[in-house]
Formats: sequence, C-alpha cells, structure tokens
Amino acid sequence: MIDINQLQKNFGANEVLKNISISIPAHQVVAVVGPSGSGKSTFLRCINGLETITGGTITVNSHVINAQSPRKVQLKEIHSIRQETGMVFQQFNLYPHKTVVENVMEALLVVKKMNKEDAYKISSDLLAKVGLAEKEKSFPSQLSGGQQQRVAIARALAMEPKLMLFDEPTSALDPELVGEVLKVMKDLAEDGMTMVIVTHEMKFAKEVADRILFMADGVIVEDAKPTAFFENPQTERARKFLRQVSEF
Amino acid sequence: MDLVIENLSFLLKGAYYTLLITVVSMFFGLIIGLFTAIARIKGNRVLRMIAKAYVSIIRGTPPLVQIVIVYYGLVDYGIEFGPLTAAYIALSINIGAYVSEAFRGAIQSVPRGQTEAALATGMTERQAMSRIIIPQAIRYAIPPLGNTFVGMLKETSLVSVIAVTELMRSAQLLVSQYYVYMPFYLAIAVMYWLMSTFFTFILHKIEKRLSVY
Repeated sequence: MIDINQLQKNFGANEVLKNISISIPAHQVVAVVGPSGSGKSTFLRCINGLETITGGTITVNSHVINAQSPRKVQLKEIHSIRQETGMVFQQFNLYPHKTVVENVMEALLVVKKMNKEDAYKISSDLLAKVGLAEKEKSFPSQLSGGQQQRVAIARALAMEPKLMLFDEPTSALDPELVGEVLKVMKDLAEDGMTMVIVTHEMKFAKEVADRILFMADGVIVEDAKPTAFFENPQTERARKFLRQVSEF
Repeated sequence: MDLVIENLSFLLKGAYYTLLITVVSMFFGLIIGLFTAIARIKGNRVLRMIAKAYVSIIRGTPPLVQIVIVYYGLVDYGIEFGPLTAAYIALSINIGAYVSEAFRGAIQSVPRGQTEAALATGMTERQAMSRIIIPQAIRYAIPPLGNTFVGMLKETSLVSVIAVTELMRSAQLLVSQYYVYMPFYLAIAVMYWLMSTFFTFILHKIEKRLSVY
C-alpha cells in the first residue's frame, strides 16, 4: 500500500526527516509514536503531499511522488494519492461555514461531481456510523471537540479512501472526549482499513495497532509489534521515551 | 430652507447619481479587488508584481488626480469617455485597490488548516479557494469592505469636477443659481449622512446574517 524510499525532508537547513525507508502493507494499522519534534507529523504529511519532500520517493497505491521529478508531475501524483487517502487533523479543520452534513458532502460534490441526493445519502449514513445522525444540520461550532473530530473522520471516509492518515487526532480533545474518537477509529481498524496514526495515546496504540513505529530526531528508531515495543524496547532512546510517558 | 424644498427633486436626482456611481463602482471594484487579492496571494512573480504595483499606485495618489487623468488626460491619446463613464472607470479602479487589501487580509486570516483539509479530500487549489477559503474570507472582509463602501459614497463627490451632476454638483449648481450657500450644502451634508448611515445599517444586517455559525 505504502512504500517509502529514502525519504528526506528539510525545513531550510533543518533536517526533519533523514533517509526514511519503510513499507506498509494494506489493512495494517500503524501507530507512529515518539517525542515531539521527532518528525512524526511531518512524516505523515509527506504521505499525502501536504509537505514537499526534499529527497527520496513515496509510493501509495502505485502513485509515485519522486523528489526528483518536476513539481507539476509531483502535484499530479499527489492529487491522485489524495483522492484515495483520507486525513484527520489534530485541530479537526471542519469547514465552519458549512453544516455537519455539508462538511461530509463537500468533497463528493466538488471532487467526485456526485449529485446532491447521492452525496447526502452517503454522508448521512456515515454520520450515523460515527454516532452523529442527529447532528446533521448543526454547525461545527455547536459541537463538542469529540463530535467535531468524529465528523472529520466521516468527512475523510466519504471519499472511500483506501488509506487513512491520523495526525494526533485526540491531542486537542478534553480527556473525557478522547474515548469516543478512539472508539470510531477502533471500529475502522476492525473493518480492515489501512491506517497510519500519529498519536500520544500509548494505550490505544498498544491495543489497536498492528505495528509501532518509534521515531526520534527524524529517523525511525524502532519498528516492532506493539507487545514487543512496549514490553521489550530495543533501544535506550525508546526506553527513555516510554519511561517519560508512563510517569503520569 | 424653502429653497431646498423647492429644489428637492433636483437634489434627489443628484443623490440618485451619487448612489448609482457608488453601487456601480463598488460592483466592479469588488470584482477587480477579488482578482487582485488572489493574484497577490496565489499568482506567479509577474502577476504578484503587477498587482502590488497597481495597489501601491492607486493608494499613493489622490483620487481626484486619478479622475482627471481618466477624463481629461486620456483624451490626449484619443481615448474619450463621457463624464459618467469616466467616473465609473476611475472610481472602480480606485476602489478595487482598497477592496483587494480588504480581501487579501481576509483570505490570509482563514486558517491554513482549512486549505489543508480541503486539499486532503482531493480538491484542487482552485476548488479549495473558491469553495472553502473565499466564502469564509468574505465574512472576515465585510467590516473593512463596509468602511470602503461608505468611503466610496463620500468620494463620489469628487467626480463633480468632471461635470457629473451627482449630489455635490447639484448643490454647486443651485448655489450658483441662487447665490446662497449654507442651505444647499447643509442639505447635501444631511443627505450624505443619511445614505452612509443607511448603508452601515444594511452592512451590519449582512454581517449578522453571515455569522450564524
């Protein structure tokens, strides 16, 4: 599903991602963990082209972003990848001027050029699936953070993505609202969705992910099954990180 | 006072032209301003430079000079407009520069995450701009646009110099006919004020309507 080869990303002179190579097969749920500033989010944002890569290649479903190819070619590939990839952001980024159901319908109408009735049907069903059927006509500002994030997940699912990217989906939520979002994500994982999740929720990662990528200083330091990573980390860097997060 | 009432229909006709010029110039100004703002934010280097130069020149020169250049100056090159057309052109170009600044600020105040969310669902830059960013930017732009609009209403008095019989010139004509100043000038001052207040009121309504979310 995803094939990343010698990915590099610099912000000016600052190397954020250093030569990352990794493959993620379909239906795998991957949790990316690590200290802040390790490049996790940047790594995720490279996959759907929200960041311009400095070196290497990213292949998603046979669409290839190659750092060497002209920007125009890259943008075309990125556009194809985005049509098959959903993304959920830390800050939800719902469209505030549209109702909940319009948020979900938007891409169907604009990108897929679907007619209103069909788009509404799909969106309505998805909102029911994330438990928000009765909020269709509300505006995002009338919803709690947890509800907004569930709408954002429904919006991403509307395009029937083959891959879902989650960028710290619960980091901006009040603690009591985290559970409802993780529940939706867990259901999605059980349905066999391919997911890459940048998260600080270690318990969730341990429970739901098939694989943990531990990143620090722009490299993937460990790549292991959850039980192996959490119970028997191989590097001092990972042990230190796990000590720090378990202190609370 | 009697003189004003006696000539009220003449003054109202002037007010009609003032309104007409304001609305027409604002309409074209909005279009020019929107495209200029987009050119400045999303355009390539050349387009950005042209847009920037346009805004800088218009904002850095008096509107009166712009009006006489369009009406009198262009005649030297064989380009001749009627007074009303010249007024539309000069004021549209003038207002476009100010509108573009209002739009530019508004577009930039829409959070970056909105564009990213739209792009991530597969929209093109252009679709994200027209469907997601601009509708939100318009709301942010309403207060500064309102000020621009009311400013325009008052600025139309300048086109009296190119013999457009709007409100200002109506008063001037009456003054030269009756040799009294104060009643006529006071009357048009009141009329300008009423129109400004009315527009401010309408804009507040629109702002309220748009802020349902």
